[in-house]
Amino acid sequence: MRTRFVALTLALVLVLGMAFTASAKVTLRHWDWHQPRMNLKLKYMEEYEKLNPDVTFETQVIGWEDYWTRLMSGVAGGDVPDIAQFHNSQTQAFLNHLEAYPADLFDYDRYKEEIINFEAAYLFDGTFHFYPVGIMTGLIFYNTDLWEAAGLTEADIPTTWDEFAVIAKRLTQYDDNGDIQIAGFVPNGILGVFWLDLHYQLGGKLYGEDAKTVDWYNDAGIQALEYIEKLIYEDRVTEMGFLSFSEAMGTGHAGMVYSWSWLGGELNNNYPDLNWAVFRLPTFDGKLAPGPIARNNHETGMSVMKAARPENKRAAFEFLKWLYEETDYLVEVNLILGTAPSNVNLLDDPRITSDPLISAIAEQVPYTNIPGEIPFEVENDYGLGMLEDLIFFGYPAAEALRTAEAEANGVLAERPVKWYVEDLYTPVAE
Amino acid sequence: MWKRRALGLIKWIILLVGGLTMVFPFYWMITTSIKIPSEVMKIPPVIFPTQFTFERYWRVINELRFGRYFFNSLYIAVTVTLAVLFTSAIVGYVFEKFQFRFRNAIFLGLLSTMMVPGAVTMIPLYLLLGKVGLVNTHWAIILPSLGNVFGIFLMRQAMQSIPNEFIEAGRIDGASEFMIFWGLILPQAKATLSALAIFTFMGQWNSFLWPLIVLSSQEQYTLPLGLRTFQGQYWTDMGLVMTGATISVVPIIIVFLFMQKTFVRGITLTGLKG
Amino acid sequence: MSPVERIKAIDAKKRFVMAVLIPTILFFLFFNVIPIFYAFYISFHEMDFLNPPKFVALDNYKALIGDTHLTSSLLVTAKFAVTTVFIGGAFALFFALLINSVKRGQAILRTVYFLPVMTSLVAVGVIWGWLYQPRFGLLNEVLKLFGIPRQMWLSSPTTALPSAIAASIWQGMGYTIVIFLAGLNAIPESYYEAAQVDGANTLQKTWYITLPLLRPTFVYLLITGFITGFQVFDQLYVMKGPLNSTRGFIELLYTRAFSYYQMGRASAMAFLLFAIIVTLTLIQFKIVSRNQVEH
Repeated sequence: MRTRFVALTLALVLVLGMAFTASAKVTLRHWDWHQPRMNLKLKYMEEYEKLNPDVTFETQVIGWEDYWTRLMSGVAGGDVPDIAQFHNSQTQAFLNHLEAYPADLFDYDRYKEEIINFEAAYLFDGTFHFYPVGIMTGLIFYNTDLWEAAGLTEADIPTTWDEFAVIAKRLTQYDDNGDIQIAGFVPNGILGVFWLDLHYQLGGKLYGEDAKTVDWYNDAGIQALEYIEKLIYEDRVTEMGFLSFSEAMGTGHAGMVYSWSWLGGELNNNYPDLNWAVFRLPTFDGKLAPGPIARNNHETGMSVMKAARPENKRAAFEFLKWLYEETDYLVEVNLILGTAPSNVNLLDDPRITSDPLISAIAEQVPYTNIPGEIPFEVENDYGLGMLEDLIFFGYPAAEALRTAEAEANGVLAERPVKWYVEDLYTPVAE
Repeated sequence: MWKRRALGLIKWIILLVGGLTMVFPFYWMITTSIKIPSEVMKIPPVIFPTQFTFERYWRVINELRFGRYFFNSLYIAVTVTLAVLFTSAIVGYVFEKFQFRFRNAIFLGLLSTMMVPGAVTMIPLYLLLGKVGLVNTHWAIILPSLGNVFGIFLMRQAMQSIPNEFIEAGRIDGASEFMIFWGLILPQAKATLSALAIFTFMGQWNSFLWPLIVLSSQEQYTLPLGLRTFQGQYWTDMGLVMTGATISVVPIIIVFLFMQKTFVRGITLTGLKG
Repeated sequence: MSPVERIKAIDAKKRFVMAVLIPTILFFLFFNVIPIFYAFYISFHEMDFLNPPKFVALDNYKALIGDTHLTSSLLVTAKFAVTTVFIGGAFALFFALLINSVKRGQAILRTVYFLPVMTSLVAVGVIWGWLYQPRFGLLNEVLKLFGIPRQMWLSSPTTALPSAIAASIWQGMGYTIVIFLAGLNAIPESYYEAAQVDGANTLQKTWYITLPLLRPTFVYLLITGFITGFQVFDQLYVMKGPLNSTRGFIELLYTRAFSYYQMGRASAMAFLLFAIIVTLTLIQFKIVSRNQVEH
């Protein structure tokens, strides 16, 4: 009799306990590498906590250089955040560990219509794993003071590469020893990435079939690289060992540079006295359509980790659903990153249209292509980065391309690319 | 007479010129942290700024849970340094002044653990500590650092200069082995202990990759982890990074200056001889 | 001492040795040897810690043969290690002797020469990056004054590595100087006084007293210098040169481990390096013990 009573009480306590824990607090852990973006999120998390008292957030900022090592060791050791800020350059490594955004909370069909490049950039086997936030591409940044001093106006903004070369020469100034004091155009530090856009404009691609190799050593590639060679060796608008593009631009030693839009953030923060503006990339024939005239990439939003606890996952998606409906958040995060919103509805927002940098990106984006993931090493040390080293070291264009291509293929052999969508570009009607 | 004066002068010129180049990066680090934003990245660099701002120091202290990180770093570094000083000295002493079988083999074995790049043992050690429930505690940082083979090696070499008669004298006097070590040997190795102290403290204070791997919450961060968040994905705010670097270097300098007095040449040995 | 006391004393010595050695060995077994064995196990697999490991037997090791990236990076690292140990050591010894001979102001000099070691490597990298800047850098401006044409320093594949090594030696000297100073400290003043009485000059004192008595320090610096030199990473990474001219072995290892997520290949590389360093260390120990001189 006594034991039955005890057992019953225990069972009652157990059931009550479970009922209480079911409605107990959920703590969602979130990792990001970008403090300004995290600060923005913290504001919205505070608001969400007020609306949903049973949810609290625990955040951690980990420096970009260490972020992926930490995430990888976390996966290995069973210690992952519920929500992780993601970057699509890590798709091949981490895709298996990201939870698919559930179709009952997120309207896939609406996204296919509203989100630029949704199918190419976000869908894997019909599901998406990180939220579309913004798009970045390459532009020409120019020093407006030097531009005016050279007697140029907005009407002189070049639309062809021949015009561009003329402007670059005009902006270049030499000192008494014949050394370049102000370089008309500084591709130093980003030459390979710049070349890739020119390669696209001439009908080339980044990857060969199935992204097993790169496809750089061809007529289009050589022609594009020879244009850059001419700028360096004939027109002498820059030289080997000149400052890097961001340093040159910021310290007023460059008339124009090529860069992706993140440079705006650096210029505003590190070189606040500089007066600068942007214009879209020139093309060989002056036209934009059909394109592609350049590459784009997406700064993605957050992912939910597969290894998170099931209750946490649901709560995480509910938070993300709420957050990504907040127009203010989406606009502000794009302004912080220097990207154009992925959602076409946001393109008319006055905060976006009044920002000349983001407007320029938004204008150019329809004519740009996203190839898929590019291993960091292919973009830098063992691929496009090597192209720059070879050109400055005196290699002729053809040989430089062949060497860099071989190096990049070596990287791809060690680190294959899984996500490849280069052929999904839709040409724009003339 | 002339020659000696001239040589002396040359010596000082060399030391001063060399010294200036040594100071310059340090000087640049500090001044950059208080330069106004437009002067931080100027080319040529601004060597003598005339305008100053301390705003970055406020940012670092307020944006990061600074006091907490500093305290974490401090108590970890001090604990590890004291432990390493003791373990290196006593183990180095045993290896140098005692004969036992396999002495060289064991020493070489210990030394060989330093020959495997840490990058490939880092995650295995992390997983191992996870199995014994030590991760996400400061113990995961402190425990693996208690023994340092280079420290043992350095102290062993220092022990070579201590004459064996000295130790024998202690034994004849009836002192225990530990008392001989603690009371007679340790004081003789002060300068090397100082050097080891500053190296250990510095290494522990600046270490970030291992603490990053084993810690799970921002509350537990050590200072370098917090400061690394200032290095961005695409660009870096150099003024802010230099601010963090300047703050970080202060305890190291304090430890270094504190250790300076032990570099005065010891006279005890000569006293013994006489 | 009576025989009984003598026996007790021996036991005390043995007990002391055991009390010290056994915890030491256990410590290193747990925190070092076990992870090393785990890493060795990984080297026979295709492993990224994100997916289950795949056993590949000796494939990772076979891939090391004919890997031109490997040999070029190993050459970079070897050049760094050898130059740093011998030339860096020589410079450090020179300055240590100078500083040690100074009667007043030694503390300040010690601090000044150790400052770069305490300074953030990022700051050091920025400064040397500016010194070495081919167009606007200070070094080329100075060379211009002497009519010497400007050098490319870190910007050319042929000059990048020597430039990076020179900067690294200059900035890292303080560490070696401090160790030399500690070693010099242990040399009793009385030896020099006796030599002075015998009429020895500074050079003779240095050659016959200082250098031989610094032997333990030399041995330490040689052996540990090679062990750490062959595992260099930060100093070469912060002063990058074009065309992989400053890419060392560990940088390649890190890339394979944490960028390509190929832990198996990285582990195989690690054990290749291990074999090289062990061999070098054993050779060094042999040379050192053959020249053993009793004082």
